[in-house]
Amino acid sequence: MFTNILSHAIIINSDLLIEMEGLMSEFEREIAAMIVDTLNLEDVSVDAIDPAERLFGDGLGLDSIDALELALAIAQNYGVQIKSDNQQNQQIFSSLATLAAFVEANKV
Amino acid sequence: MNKIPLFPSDALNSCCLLNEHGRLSYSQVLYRTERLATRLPDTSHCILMCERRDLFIISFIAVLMRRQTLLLPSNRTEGVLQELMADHPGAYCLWDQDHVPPGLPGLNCSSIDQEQGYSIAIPTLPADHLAAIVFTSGTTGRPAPNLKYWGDLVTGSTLLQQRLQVNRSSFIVATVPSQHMYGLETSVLASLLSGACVYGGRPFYPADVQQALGLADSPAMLVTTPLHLHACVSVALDWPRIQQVISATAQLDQALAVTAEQVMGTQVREIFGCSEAGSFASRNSAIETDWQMYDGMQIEQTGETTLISGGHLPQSVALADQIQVRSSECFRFMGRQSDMIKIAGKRASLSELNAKLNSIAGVSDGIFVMREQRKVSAPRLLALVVAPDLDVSQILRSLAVFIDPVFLPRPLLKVRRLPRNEANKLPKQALVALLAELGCQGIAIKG
Repeated sequence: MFTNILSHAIIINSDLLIEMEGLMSEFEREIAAMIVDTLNLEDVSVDAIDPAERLFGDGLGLDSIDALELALAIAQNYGVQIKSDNQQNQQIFSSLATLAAFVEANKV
Repeated sequence: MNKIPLFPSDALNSCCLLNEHGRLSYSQVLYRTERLATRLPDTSHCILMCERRDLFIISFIAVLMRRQTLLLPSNRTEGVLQELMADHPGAYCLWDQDHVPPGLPGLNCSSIDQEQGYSIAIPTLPADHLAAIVFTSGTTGRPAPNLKYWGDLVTGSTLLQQRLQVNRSSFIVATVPSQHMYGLETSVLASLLSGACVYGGRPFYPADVQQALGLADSPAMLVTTPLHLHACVSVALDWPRIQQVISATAQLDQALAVTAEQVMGTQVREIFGCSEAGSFASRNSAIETDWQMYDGMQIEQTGETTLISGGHLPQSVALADQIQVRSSECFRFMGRQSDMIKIAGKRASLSELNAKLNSIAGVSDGIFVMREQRKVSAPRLLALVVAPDLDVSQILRSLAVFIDPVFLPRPLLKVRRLPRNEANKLPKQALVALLAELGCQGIAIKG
């Protein structure tokens, strides 16, 4: 609960952002662990993923196959179906933070 | 000279392209291709890069109407495009994305969406027109050209249509790219030449596939790969009535085929082919292990070589795979040649990848290593590299100029040196020992 409030504080207060950089919420950590586990990212430590860092292209360097595997894991673990025509789609996968926020908001 | 129409004369009012926004008849598509054809440069080669299937098909017809040849590279990285244009002076590109490399000759054809009209002038093409050159990963470092003449493409398509029962009433939904042979044969040629209808997009997530399959009144034919099929059956979705599922690019595990038939309520078949020859055999995946050649085609073993002939092939083609010939019409696939690897339907030669890695300035030695596949997900390569003055991200960026993203190594590990023996070879045991030493679990060597 406390960590979720902190996450919201990051969005509102950019001064706090400098201090809070890299801190991830409990759910973000859960999603990060799912990413590392699902994609067999052997050389990536869960805690080292910056929630604001890009997942695809630069940053974590994921590609389209990874997107499919993640969509699968998300559907199986959280009951959320990702669709390409979802308006938010560009933002869903843009970072760990946006992905975690989307899954948390839509999970069954 | 025999001239063959691009689609049947009585298909003008049939649905050609269908998506969530509506449908286009062959007559409407023909109008758009005519409009696009007038905008194409007056040169001989076109690199067709359209991501949208509907724009790919319209561009495909337009380029052929202008009697030009399509260049279809195995990937569209910047390095490959530059090589292709250097080899084919005057070649231009057709694309539909917003972001392309700066200075690329050619045009964005997505404005063709605005054109509304009808045409009845069905284009025909001589059988000996060089319709396309399909480039495949070779072992020599440069992609190998495979010449596809229109007559051979049509003959091959007829065999595929017969085997898969593609006809005027088919509605084809494909998850695969249009520009590789599999997608070209199934979602472009089979559809056009039979006067069938094809989904204008390229569904990605299982929910997208489900939505596309439900768009037509009649059950659709799904053209996909093991990777995508596995994804579709692994999520809880209600599938509409499906006419059949076709899979290719890698062997479909029989258990997955059985599951897919149960979950999707339909028959699953595979086709077998290669970029050099196109498709030439099929099997009923849930119940058959052996492959049946298309009607009128043969397979034979002569010494170490397996040859296929007949059908659409102007001459015999040697297969690069390990094949057990059971009869002149029937064979079993035993494995791939060790140099060739496939990830998510894309093919590359390990020696070509190694050549690219070693050509990077600052890399003094390097090797790609293929991993054992752990689950149905795509296997990944890893790479060991000697490059004291470069960091991992620099090397990856240099690789990405030429190599398709699916072949980028995961991880790329820097080492002091590779364990070569006196003959300068890398013995497998030494590599395995080095990898074990490195833990291969996220211990990146900083250098």
